[in-house]
Formats: sequence, structure tokens, C-alpha cells
Amino acid sequence: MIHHHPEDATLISHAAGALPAAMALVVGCHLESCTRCRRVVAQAETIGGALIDSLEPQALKPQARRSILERLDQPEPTGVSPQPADLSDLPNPQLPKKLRQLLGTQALEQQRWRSAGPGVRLLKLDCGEGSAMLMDIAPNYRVPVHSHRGTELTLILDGAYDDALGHFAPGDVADLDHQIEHQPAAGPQGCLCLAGLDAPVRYKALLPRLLQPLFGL
Amino acid sequence: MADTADTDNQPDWAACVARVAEQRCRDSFMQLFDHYAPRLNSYLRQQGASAELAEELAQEALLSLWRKAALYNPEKAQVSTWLFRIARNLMIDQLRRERGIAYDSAEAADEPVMEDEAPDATDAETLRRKIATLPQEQLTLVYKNFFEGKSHAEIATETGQPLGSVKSRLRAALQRLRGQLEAEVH
Repeated sequence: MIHHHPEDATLISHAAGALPAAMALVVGCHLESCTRCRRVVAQAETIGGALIDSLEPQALKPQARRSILERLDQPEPTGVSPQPADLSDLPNPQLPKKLRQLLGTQALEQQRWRSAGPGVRLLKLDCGEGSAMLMDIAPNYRVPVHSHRGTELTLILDGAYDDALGHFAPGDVADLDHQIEHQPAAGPQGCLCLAGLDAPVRYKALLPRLLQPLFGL
Repeated sequence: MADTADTDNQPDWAACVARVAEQRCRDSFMQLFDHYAPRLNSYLRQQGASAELAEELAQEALLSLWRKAALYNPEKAQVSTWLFRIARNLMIDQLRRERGIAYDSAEAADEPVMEDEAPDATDAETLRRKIATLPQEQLTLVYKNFFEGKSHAEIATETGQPLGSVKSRLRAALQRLRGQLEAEVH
């Protein structure tokens, strides 16, 4: 049972195609397991459709009508778009589909994790826009208090963490903006999560803040 | 409803798609083309596509409709919603390729919408009327989000509003348009 969802504004932006890739990835993975949010996105897409209907039309070139009629008779081109990797060949079956496609053929443990302090290791994901990473927090470890310069979306994949906002278990999403300061503490099983950021994190205490460039957070 | 908007005079688009699916009816298809291609063109231009690319993608979206018409289910989505999803995914595929990792397919026409997640497709007219009555500040945000493809942070910077206000206004717009969402979160 999922208790924490992305904000509606975040889901609206996902429907609009306006989320930076790193954040869209987190929402996309959450949607795979959340009927409630798929419904909100579908509602927002209805708004998109209604807006299309009320847009000021911008005429196509005069020859467009004839050209489209000619194209109706042509066979559908095949094999144009690259096929996503066949999921059954990929490792990490416990993870969301979109994440598995991104991770490719290497198992989670064989990926290039790097340490980010005593209780946290990070796996940077190549997403091209914003920054996305897997974060693996050791059992019972407390992440230093921090806020965010932009927005951070975090999807819990395994284990759990607790902070002032509540208990976050697999499927839950923390949708945090710069006004929120938090100190997540991993549960006894530790916590594996997927984070998408549209701007670097801002730590409160002096030391971790100085360390930020090293961690790439 | 007593007040009749212009949109009430529109053809029954779902019936047009049905005729395309069942009879390969070109007249119905061209009706859809004449109405939607210039609007999708407009949408794609505002997303930043060049004049040439926008026209190409608008035609591509309508070709998708021609090919996939049989998959369209009027109970699950308005024709405009269906075309919006197709055009949005074409836009992502061509203009915001890195976002493709988050969407299931470039061919939105193929994406199934599950029974329990489909919003009521019968009230699009009401929805269009409600959009027209949104406060200007909400309408501007919805517009920037949907048509200029801007993120919350970009909209906040551009309009000089705090990020929190941008989000709460977008949320208010959705609630106003769609009525009560079933789950109140946070």
C-alpha cells in the first residue's frame, strides 16, 4: 500500500511532458506501481487534450492536405524506432521496468557504486537532464540534515526510511522542494531509493556542505 | 446545458475516428486532420519545434491516428486527449529525447489505459468551459506547463513567483478542473 505520492503539480507536469528527465524517471517508475497516480496523470492529460482543442490553430502549408492523403496509402514504416531492450534478458527483476532498462545488463551489485560517507553509497544514473541516482543507505544510518536547492523526488525501492514527514516504504515517493529540511533515517534493512533532482542539494551543517562537491550531490 | 459554447458545434470526433477505423473513411479522416493538425502544429511550435518539424510531427500524429484508429476507445479518452498524448510523446522523442526514459513508448497510441485509471471521458465540454473560467494566474501556469514545456522551477523564475506558489496554483487548477481527487495525500 502506497502512502506517499508525488504532488499533484508534479504529476500534472509529468502529463505535460515538462519534468526534467531525472524527475520524470522517478515519476515514471512510481506510476508503474501506483494506480492512484496513473489516474491523476490521465486526468491531467484530459486537460492537455482540452487545451489542444482550444488552441489557436496555425495552418499547415497548403500542400499538406494532398501530401497526407498520399501517405495514407503508403505502408507503415517498420523498425524505425529503436526497440527497448527485452526485459526478460535484463537482471534486477525486483526494480521498476524503466530503471531496469536504464541499468542495462549489469546486476545492481556490479554497477559502479561510489561511497558518499560512512553510511551511503551512490550510483549515478545517466539521464541527460537533471541528476538521477540510486542511493543505498546502510541499516539505521541517519543522513545529515539537508534541504534542496531545487526539487528532489525520491522513490523507495527497498527497505524503508523515516523522517519528520513520516515512514517511507517501497513505492512511496517523497516530493521535496527547497523549503523542506529533512534527515532521513534508514530502517533496520537499510534503504535503497531512486532520487531525481533538478538542482544540487543544500546541506545545513558546515562540514557536509563543504563535502558536497566531492559527493556530487 | 443552457449556455452553448462554440465547441458544441464541433463534429462528433469519436464517431469520426470510428468511421476511420471501420470504413477507412477518408472524409472523416480529413475532417479530423483539418481540425487537429493546425492545433497540434500550434502546440508543437510552442514547445520549440521549428516550423518544418512542427508540421512534420503534426502530420505524423494524424497518421498515427489513421493507423491506430481501431485501438481508440471512446469510453477511455477523448479524441483530443488521445492526440495530445501522441503529440506529446512525438515532441519528447524529437525535442526532449532525454525524457524518453520516463515514458512507455513514442507511440502513445499503443499505450493501454487501464479500466481503473481512465477518467470520465464524457465531460470534455464541461472541462473546456471550466478551463475558460480559471483565474488568469492559474491559466497562465497551466499554459506554460503544457505548451511551453517549462518546469516548475523555470516558471517560478520566469514569473517571479515562489516555487511553492507555482505548485499550489497548478494543484488548485487541477482540482478545479477535475473536481475532487479521490486521494488527499501528504
